Amino acid sequence: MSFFKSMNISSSGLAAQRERMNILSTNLANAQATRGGPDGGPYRRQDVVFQAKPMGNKFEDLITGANGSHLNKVKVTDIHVDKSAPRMVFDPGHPDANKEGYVAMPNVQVMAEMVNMIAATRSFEANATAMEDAKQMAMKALEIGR
Amino acid sequence: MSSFIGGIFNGADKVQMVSLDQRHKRGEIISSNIANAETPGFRAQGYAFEEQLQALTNTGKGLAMNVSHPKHMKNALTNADGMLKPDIYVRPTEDISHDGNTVDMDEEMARMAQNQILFRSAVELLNRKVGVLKYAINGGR
Repeated sequence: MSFFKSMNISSSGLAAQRERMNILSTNLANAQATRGGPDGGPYRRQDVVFQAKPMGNKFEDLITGANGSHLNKVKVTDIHVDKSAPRMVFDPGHPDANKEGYVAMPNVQVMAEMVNMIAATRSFEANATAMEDAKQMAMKALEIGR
Repeated sequence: MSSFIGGIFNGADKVQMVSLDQRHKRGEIISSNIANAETPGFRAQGYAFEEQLQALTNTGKGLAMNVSHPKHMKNALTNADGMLKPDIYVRPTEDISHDGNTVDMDEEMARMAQNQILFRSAVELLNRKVGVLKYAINGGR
């Protein structure tokens, strides 16, 4: 059904932003986690990578991979681990402190995560509005001839 | 479409019908732009059909000229299926963000609102037409 195409696109946007929000929550929740990172050290912040996915509308397009349409869904294709250096905090009493008394804290910047979270929310809202718009168009079309 | 129906629904109504279809497709392009507003390297797309529609209505040959074979004669302004051939293009812009994305969210939202209003007005015009027909069918009651 052609009328559901734009809703499908918007829902892919909603799903992608929701996934981004999950990753941002993970970052915030683990902002103080000094263990359990990818190399056993402190947690490393993660980020989503979005990719435009052309929507093939014909069966052949899906098989040949041809870009049968100009419409693009969005998909989270990768979750990138930020390799930047951990934040060193002086806290000699901490069980994970090194010989100099410094603790390697996650490279999560709470402010940056909050800003990303606002951006994700706004993007989510924009997709929700686009979906509402498509729905209203479909509902209005049902009124033709009434 | 039989000549009877063709007589009731004249060229002006067909313009509205094609316009409904095209506005719906423009809505899809806008949704695609909004969904990819944060995809690195994504270029915002535009969808132009007004000029093509106007050119078609000016030819006086009518809108839909359906063909079922590639060698059939067809209107240069329509696709093989007799539908209007819109222009889908990468929208030229001066401001490209640091990740190569050119989607301007405000612009897309404005375009979406405009598209919605014009869609509704096309529905409204068709409804008025149907209202007139109903009035005639009921003998003016």
